[in-house]
Amino acid sequence: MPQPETAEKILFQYVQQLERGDQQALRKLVLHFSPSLHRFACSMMGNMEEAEEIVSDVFVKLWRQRANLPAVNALKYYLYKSVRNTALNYIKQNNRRSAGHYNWEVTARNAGMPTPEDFLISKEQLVFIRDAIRALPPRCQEIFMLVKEEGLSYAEVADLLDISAATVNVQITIALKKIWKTLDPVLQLPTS
Amino acid sequence: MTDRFWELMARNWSGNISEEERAELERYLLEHPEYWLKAGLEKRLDYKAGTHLSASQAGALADEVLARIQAEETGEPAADAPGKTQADEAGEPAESKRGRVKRRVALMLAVLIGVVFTWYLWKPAMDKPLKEIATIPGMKTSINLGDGTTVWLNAGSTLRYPEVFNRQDNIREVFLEGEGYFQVKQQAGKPFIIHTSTMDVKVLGTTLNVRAYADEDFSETALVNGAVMVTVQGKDFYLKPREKVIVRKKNNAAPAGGRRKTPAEQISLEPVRGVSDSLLMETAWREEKLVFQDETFAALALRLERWYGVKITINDPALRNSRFSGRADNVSLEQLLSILNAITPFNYDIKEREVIIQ
Repeated sequence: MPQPETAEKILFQYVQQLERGDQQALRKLVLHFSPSLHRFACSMMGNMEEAEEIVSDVFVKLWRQRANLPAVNALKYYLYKSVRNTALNYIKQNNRRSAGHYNWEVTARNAGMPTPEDFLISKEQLVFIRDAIRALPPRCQEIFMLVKEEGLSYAEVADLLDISAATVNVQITIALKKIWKTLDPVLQLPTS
Repeated sequence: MTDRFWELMARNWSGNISEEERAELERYLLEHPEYWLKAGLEKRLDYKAGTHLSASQAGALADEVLARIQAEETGEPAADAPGKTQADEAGEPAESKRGRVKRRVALMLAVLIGVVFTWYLWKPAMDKPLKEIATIPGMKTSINLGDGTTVWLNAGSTLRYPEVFNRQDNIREVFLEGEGYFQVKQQAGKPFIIHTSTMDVKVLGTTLNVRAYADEDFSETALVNGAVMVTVQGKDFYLKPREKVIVRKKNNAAPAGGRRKTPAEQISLEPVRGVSDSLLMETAWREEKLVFQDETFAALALRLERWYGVKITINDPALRNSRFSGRADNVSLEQLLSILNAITPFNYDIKEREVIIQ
């Protein structure tokens, strides 16, 4: 699948254009990153409007920093870190912090190469799994989202959330165990 | 199932697993085929945490960011701009003639200033009041210049720079002897120029490392990111990120007087050497990391003298030419010497600030 590599390449181009002072490249980066950064900011602020301000601040800062951009593969983490620092500043001023709320959706790649030991994951099953994730503690959901959906490393998430890498490890294991349990019924349903 | 198994599963699932851990996990899974099936199922699931920001909201956010940048670059709030332009245009026809004369006088003045300024440029340094900052061996420092540029100065280096960068100047100039890491603040139409005895580096807002010690047989400019133009002996080199230009002196005679005319210099463009993804040979010193690759003991000793602020004497000529590669993060001189000693055995003696090697 060439998809991820191409996405990486396009990002690389945007970053290069941004280094040269191209505002349209910045616009593309905002469109690409702002939904997930906004979600993260929301989880810290518990408030959509403030989260938008924070994301806006982060990209203005990115523009000012354009001569010293991080490598493309470190950009996402850099932006997350920037959101966190900006949000902490807001919180320091207003003295509050709230837990995030996530609207999880789970999909399965059932199509592909069916092998004799392949099992179908039904729609009902996916809802079941989704509810299991939604029932996780908010902090666990946040860590799960950063590691699993955003692909950040344990060390990066630990740094971002001011917790130890061991805590990240524990929380991810908890999430895995919960999802693991919901898969039991699936194994009883082999395809033809 | 053991805790260890769960931990390995979670690490594998999230891509935070090492080769050894993966092998360990595979042994577990071979013993428990049912887990293996489940792990395969798990892999097929995608999770999306959802977002509150729709595509159109993201677009609006992008517009807002661009508007803020625009306002920042023009130096005034975006909302004020249209009103002002109108006022200017309204005032224009009434005094257009006087305005034109004024503008012509201003232009002539500008040309005159330009000529005087160019003359100053031709006789650089001496006429301008410059501040000087120097680091002794064993010491590093960083300086913030008035324009937002930051310079980290390695040991045994001198930087001369104007106390303030004048507003009317269309150029920012500093003079370096030794090694410096520059984070240059971009200013439209005001390039930043670093002069060394062998090269002039014209920077347009970027991060770079310049090394020009008088007692070393080479000098170099390595670009971390951004864009620079390096002029050596009248020739211009445009560097791309992670490229560097090196000027090697062919004979070791110090070219004290006739600097740029010394023909025995060899210029080359080379890629910057990476120790790892995040660490470059050229800039490792900033993080207190001493990196050397295939370097003669004599050359390395010169660096160690600056790094630790000691005097090193190597008595054995064969030892002077023996080569070392390695990396030392934040170690003492004693530790480093014992590491080198493990690579190539030699006797050494440390007395106060002097090291004798034989």
